[in-house]
Amino acid sequence: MSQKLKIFVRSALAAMLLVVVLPSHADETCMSPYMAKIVGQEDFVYVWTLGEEGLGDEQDKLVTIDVNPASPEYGKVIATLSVGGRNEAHHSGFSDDRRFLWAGGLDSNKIFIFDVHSDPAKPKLHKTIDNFVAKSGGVVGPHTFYALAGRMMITGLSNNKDHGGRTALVEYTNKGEYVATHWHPTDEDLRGAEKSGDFADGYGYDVRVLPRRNAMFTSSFTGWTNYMMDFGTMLADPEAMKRFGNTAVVWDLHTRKPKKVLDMPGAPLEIRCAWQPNHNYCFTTTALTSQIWLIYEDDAGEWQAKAVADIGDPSKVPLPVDISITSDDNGLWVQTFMDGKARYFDVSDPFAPKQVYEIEIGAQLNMISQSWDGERAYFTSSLLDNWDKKGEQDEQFFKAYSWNGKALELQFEVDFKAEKLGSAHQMRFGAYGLYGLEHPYATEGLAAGE
Amino acid sequence: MKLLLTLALTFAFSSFCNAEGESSSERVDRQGVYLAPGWGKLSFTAPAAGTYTLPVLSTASDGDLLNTEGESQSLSSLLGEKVTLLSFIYRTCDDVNGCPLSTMVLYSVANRLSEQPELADQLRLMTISFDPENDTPEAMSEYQESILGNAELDWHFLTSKSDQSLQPVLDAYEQFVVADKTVEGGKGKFSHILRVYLIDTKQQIRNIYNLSFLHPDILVNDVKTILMENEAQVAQSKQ
Amino acid sequence: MKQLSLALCIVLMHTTVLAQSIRVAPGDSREGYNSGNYVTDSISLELRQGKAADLLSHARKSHLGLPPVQSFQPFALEAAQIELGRRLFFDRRLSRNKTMSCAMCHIPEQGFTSNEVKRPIGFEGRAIKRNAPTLLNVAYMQTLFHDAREDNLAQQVWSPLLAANEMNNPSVGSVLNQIQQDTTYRKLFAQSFSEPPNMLNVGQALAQFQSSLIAANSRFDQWYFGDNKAALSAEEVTGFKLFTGAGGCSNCHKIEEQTALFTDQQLHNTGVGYEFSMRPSSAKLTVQLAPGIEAQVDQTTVAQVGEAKANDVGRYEVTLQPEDRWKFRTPSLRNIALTAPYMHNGEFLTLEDVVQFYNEGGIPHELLSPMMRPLELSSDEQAALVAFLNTLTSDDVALLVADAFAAPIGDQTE
Repeated sequence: MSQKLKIFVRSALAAMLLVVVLPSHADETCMSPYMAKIVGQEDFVYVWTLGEEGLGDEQDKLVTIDVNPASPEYGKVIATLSVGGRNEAHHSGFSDDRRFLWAGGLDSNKIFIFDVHSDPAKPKLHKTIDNFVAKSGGVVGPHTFYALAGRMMITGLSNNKDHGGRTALVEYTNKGEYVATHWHPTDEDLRGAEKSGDFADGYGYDVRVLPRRNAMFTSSFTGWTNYMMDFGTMLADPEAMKRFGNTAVVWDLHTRKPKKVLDMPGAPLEIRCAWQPNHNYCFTTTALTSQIWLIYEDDAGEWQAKAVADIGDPSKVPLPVDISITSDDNGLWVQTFMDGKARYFDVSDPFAPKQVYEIEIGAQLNMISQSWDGERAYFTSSLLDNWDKKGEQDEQFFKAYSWNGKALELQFEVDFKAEKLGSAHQMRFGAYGLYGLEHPYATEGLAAGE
Repeated sequence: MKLLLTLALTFAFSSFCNAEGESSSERVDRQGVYLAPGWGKLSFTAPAAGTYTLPVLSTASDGDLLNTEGESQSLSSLLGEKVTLLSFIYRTCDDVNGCPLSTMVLYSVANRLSEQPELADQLRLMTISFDPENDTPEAMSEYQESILGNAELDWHFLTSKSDQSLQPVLDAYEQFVVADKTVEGGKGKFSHILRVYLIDTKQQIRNIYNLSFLHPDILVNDVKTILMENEAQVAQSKQ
Repeated sequence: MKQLSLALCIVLMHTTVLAQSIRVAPGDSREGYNSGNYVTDSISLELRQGKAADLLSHARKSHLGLPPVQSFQPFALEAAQIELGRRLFFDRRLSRNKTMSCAMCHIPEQGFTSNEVKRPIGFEGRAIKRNAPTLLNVAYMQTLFHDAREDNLAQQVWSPLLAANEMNNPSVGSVLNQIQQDTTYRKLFAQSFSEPPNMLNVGQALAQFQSSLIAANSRFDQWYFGDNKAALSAEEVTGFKLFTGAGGCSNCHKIEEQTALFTDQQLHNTGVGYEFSMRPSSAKLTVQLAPGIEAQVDQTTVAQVGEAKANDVGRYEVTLQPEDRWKFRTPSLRNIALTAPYMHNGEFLTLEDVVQFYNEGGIPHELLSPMMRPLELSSDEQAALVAFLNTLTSDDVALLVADAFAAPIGDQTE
């Protein structure tokens, strides 16, 4: 680097250290690397919650829980926002400026855009998109909402032709206008991708990116018929059990073109990419075959996939669901739905994950959200409305834990059934500091970028 | 500071681009502070121009602005004639990964295109301040001079009469700006999300760049992609 | 378990050189999924193209092996009404939450049924306790539903529209209002019926479209009714002889002198329903996790995540007569190769399984049809029967599927 430039850069940096800057390249460990992140104490967790027939107002809602210990409302539900209908509320994601939270319904195909910046303690419904299927050319089941610059990448799970698993990624502007549909590669139309193994099923589920490698990754689940079906009925239906995805796809992020289809048998779900600069890899887990898979760039610059560890006893089908990587890339939380366990893997050698801790969180377990520093972890119970356990085992909760690197300790919990809320699904963090607002009670731990 | 910025821009096109060896590593300075990809060599090969399409995102909104002469200038009057790269900055921004980065990248893109005669006249740059209070037309004029020096680039520096007249533009381009209260005195610093817009000759936004993709290699190829699309349309209409 | 190939590819020639291949089978083939050698054969939805057919001409023309359809329906076939019914059939807005059309369970390329599931899934994923019957040649059925509770196609359509576990509309009026809101429908109803949509004309429009889904002139028809002796192989001819002879199949799946509906339009008890209701379930369930990978899962584990299965006493549920317990309607066997899985509850995945079931004489119990008896067919004879059943597939299905692919799918546009 030239001497003069160094002087410039250093003076710029010196000034910057005094400034809290919003735009950033990181977030709490699950989200888009484009987004502002909360590195301190989060103020709220927004829980996208499924309405349950016969419980409360029976409809989907965004539930806001105060999680700042400095607040007098700590541990309480401070707002609920009902949206009408049971849409199969599932995942949600912030826009890149983090002012809006997009939340999807896998059944109704509606997308609810919540304003979380005007009053982070009380989100408002800003806009509802109810023509997603028609606009996208037949994509059903808006799943992951992943912020890219000025726009939202949405993964589909199904289609309006056969309600099977062939589907596409759909791009919208931040304003909620349709941009483009990117179909997953199939045998008939690989769209320029290489079919590296036996499978090119055209299925979709999650999406994550590694911008420094211009790479985007998608995983594959199953279509509407299966994700809406009673879980026990599906297990007993051999035809239905054939309709799961067995692939992950590597895409060119800038051009949105699929490059390589990787075999990954048994429904790879959540993808989490490493944060550290030279860690060009992502983890995913296969729900049915209970394995941790590593998607990595080999020495020749080729993307490869490898099963690197079993999760519990795969023959017992523990059903790994949500995962979360720590910001230092050394740890991976893996939740198993059937036994309700959170499992912590040491992934400091990504090719040899080792489980070092496990704890039963509840009768069933799906999602985790952890703070950037890894010291707090939140868990919810629901997987899919008709896949959740039946009867007394259908516990529905939000549980807040602290993590000291060795054990989880319960801080508080919210019983979503007792509070007549519904089934607790995905969580996202909110904070006053993201929007230049001051917390009415807490004086420290404002959100910060960088 | 102005001098330093000019120097930085000058060097950005020559030595700096070759300064980084490792293609896969993120750049950090000696204090370990992250430097955006735009400051160094791109860690992957930018997709070749014309091998991909850039979908239309939206129509580029109009706005009531002021040029460096202090004259009223509508945003749309500058759009449509050429492919345009539009950035939002504030003059006193000193976040190395913020406004200086976008200014450097825009300069670099224009500079590279100007080396190719057939492309030289096809690009316009626009930089809009979101700090009308401090960034007066006179201040923007000085800023322009400090950046352009003797270079002849089609680069418009714009500000606005007031926060009120600016706000519709910020809303339309979704530039979320917060006065930063954490700075001592609470004045003159802003939190904002870095965005640069690529606008075609039909006044449509065709790409939005953030930190990760704001790099001359990518922007040059995107601009060329749009220009190739224009040529193809012209050729088709002649048939 | 051997998987039967359902794929039937027909090339439809367009007016010019453009050729469109229509696959009459699920769009992402799972053939051989049980084996570790499975490879995908998925087709692109983006490239999917249809070709609208003249359905009125198709319905009116003579179909080798079937009588004129007109004598089976109380209304005259009309092009405008068929077209309107086709639009309604693919309209997903005709369910309460706008996600289910008729075609989501009667999927055209899956034989107008659902190949991918034993029993289809309705509103909010609710279970439906019987297999979706094919709509191919449905106009010839004198009774409808597996329990024959309906006898008029135009009336029948209101059952799925209003069933809580199917399309879940709260009332007839709400369906009519939904239709009435759409300007295209207002125009089409005025043109077709000279009146706004009502309970009768909505039923009739859908019945018109379904009456056009005629698919005969199979290789069997060409051989049997068309005098083309080369149309069937020796094994298939053997299968036919067993079908009408030692197998006793044609006692219920009738073949007449001039035509063959392959049904007696009656209800019978084969024991399939009895076994489903009365048999205790096994302790373990074999679950396929991925190609070539299975697990044995405890039924207690399955029960944790599963609702109790809905009971089904068959025709009894309509008549409340004890002798009607577990009686189900005889389906036609036309195009049977395209309509897996089989029986009223979809419990049999392949024709081999079905033939083996009949060969063993069904499930013994006091209400078992006296026609059910062990057949004592050899494995070659069973294979010949299956071969014969595979000759009942009509080339016209591809035309109907291509037409369906060209039909507008009704999704919310605002």
